[in-house]
Amino acid sequence: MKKKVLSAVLSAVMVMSLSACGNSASETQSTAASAAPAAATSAAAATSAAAATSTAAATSAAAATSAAAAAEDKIDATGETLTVWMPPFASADGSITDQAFWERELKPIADETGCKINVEIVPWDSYEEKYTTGVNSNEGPDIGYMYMEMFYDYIHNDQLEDVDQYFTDADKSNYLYYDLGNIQGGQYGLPVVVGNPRVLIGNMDILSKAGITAMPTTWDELVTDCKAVMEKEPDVTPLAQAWGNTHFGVLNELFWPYFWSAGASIVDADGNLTVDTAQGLEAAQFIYDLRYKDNILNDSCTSTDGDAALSNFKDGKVAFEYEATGNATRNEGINWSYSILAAPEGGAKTFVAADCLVMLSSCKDKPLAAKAMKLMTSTDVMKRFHTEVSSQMPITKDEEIAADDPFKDLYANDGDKFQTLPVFEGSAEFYDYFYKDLQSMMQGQMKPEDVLKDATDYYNSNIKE
Amino acid sequence: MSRKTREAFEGYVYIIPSFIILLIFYIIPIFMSGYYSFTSYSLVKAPRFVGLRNYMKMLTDSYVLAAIKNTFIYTLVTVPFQTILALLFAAFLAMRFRNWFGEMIRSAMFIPVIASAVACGAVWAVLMDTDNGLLNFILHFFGAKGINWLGSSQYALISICIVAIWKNVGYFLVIYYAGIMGISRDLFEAAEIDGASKWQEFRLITIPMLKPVTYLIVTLGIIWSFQVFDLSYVMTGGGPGKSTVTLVMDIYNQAFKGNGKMGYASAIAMVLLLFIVIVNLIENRFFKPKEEV
Repeated sequence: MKKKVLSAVLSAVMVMSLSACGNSASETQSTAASAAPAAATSAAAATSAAAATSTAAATSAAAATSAAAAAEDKIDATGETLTVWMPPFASADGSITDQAFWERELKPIADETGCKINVEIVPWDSYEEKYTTGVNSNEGPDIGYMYMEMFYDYIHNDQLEDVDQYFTDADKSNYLYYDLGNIQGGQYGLPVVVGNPRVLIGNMDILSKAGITAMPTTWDELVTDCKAVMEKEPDVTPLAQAWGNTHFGVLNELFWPYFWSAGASIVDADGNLTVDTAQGLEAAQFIYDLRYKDNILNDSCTSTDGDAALSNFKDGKVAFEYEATGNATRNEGINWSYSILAAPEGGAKTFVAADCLVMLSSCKDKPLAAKAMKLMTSTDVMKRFHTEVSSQMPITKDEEIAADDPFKDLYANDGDKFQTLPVFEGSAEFYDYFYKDLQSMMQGQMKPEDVLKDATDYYNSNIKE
Repeated sequence: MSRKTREAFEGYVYIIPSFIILLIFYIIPIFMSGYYSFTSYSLVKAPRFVGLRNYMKMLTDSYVLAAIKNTFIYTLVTVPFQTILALLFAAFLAMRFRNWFGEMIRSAMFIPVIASAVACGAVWAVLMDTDNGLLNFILHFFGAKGINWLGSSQYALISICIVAIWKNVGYFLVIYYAGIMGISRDLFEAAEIDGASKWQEFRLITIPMLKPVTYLIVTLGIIWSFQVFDLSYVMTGGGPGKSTVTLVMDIYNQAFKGNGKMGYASAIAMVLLLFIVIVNLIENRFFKPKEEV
């Protein structure tokens, strides 16, 4: 009997504990539910307020100035928390971590307003997933960092704030690339990392042994130089291409520079995909020929990732590779130079990042967030970011390019060769599919024309709503 | 209240906690997923009923079709190999090494089971590197040509299968070993008296007596194989081409990358559920032992 009583009591305890959990959850849910409409109302109010301000700004410069001035005013944010999500840029052996850098740089805001700053560094390999789940569950940041592939859905789901009203004309005029944040008809981004252009890097010691004295500037010269390296330095890989990368972002080095040089564009003004053109085919065919006609790329290119390519270049085993300028500056001990290639009938073009700070619509204290965004993109902070964390192009007129920056000439003179990715529906999904098709092409399973046609058909039938 | 009713009531009280957990975390989500599979739903916007559109779309989605094909190939390769290897290792250890050495081997083979799949995938990706990996170094050492393990559509899926088998075999070995230990020694002694060889003992006593265990191992193996994601995600990201894309990876990509197409992801998840149910029904029909386990 005692056992029965004991077991009944234990069962009751278990059930009660679960019920308690359930109750607690219900309460939380109920609180969340009651908070949600409030938040929605507040968000709606904020949106309508923003829209109103925006409309007013269009008709009255005074209103905009007033909103921007409000962001300049002293803000009391005691008890509030400003959450900032940033990606990692600092190298593992760098002098400071990204986390420490942004916490240090945002401290003045915390001191001035009394708010608490919560900086979170989001790893690149789960970047989009973190934003998707975080933002959609109302656990996202107040200030985030987005690249072009991410914008479309957040804008069309009203999850990003048009920040134009928080910036005065003087603010705007000091930014070099403010307009790059004007996306889909609104200022949804504040460009912060503009640059990191992809360039062809060459090991000049290897090249000189092959009788080459200058970096190639056209596709044909690249092929000729690679063949010379293959002949004179058979143990050296003439051109490293990381087709083994697991993420489509590597297209920024492997494909888009050739694609744009050939005169092709990814989408037209109406957002229709335009990769399947004669110019697009020229670029795909060139890459295909590097592998199957000229034998410059071997079959291990589909297993080589970006880290391996960079490491092999640093070890002096590779003559040429495409690299982001931010990474290229870490090629210490190598006598290297760079160039941007031009297609036979086209101009020299390459990818450049235009990553932006964004203010999420769910942000409760928007003037505070705007103030923080201004601080983060201010000349002083950016100078320190570019020297301590990652060498990039300046984004403000006040910041000068460092005299010893190896890409000083590139930044100063070659702006017309830089191109950013367009913002269009389902871009990330398209890039992933397209990249996989190109990988198949590099294994000889698809022809260049089939890749362009298949990717276009897939986009139109499966991705675009 | 009669004694029978009271006992039944007590029984229900005991199972209520488990039932609530099952209800909240398994049954309700399955039904919700079933509902969402008939909608266009992107987390932010309210679900909009679209009928069978998601299912029809799947029929022409080359990405999903490749994922289905790869998932079946992966299952057909890993399940038989990991089952047979686990059985052979377990029988060998039970016959020859019922001592500290056997225990050490069992423990060593169990380490991959408790190791994170992501860590295992990352380490194996380095070992399988075409130019600098240990596996190709060994092949070159013996004069063989290196293999493009993860960079070739021909080998990439098989490479992932190898890692999965390596990771799972220790778990099934332990189950088999326990099963073998549970077989009465009398049967083996009687067989020895009758002049049976070790191979005959294994074939005619061990394997038949382990049928319930084998059923469990094959069932678990099939379910795990249909759920493969992490190894493929870490080692190849689904490439090269679509050669290692799996159903769960596609569900993940659809749900959490880009547009966040929860409705379409739910439809793929329902198809996956259907596959698992069908395969298990077939297995039950043909392989389930007559006695209860």
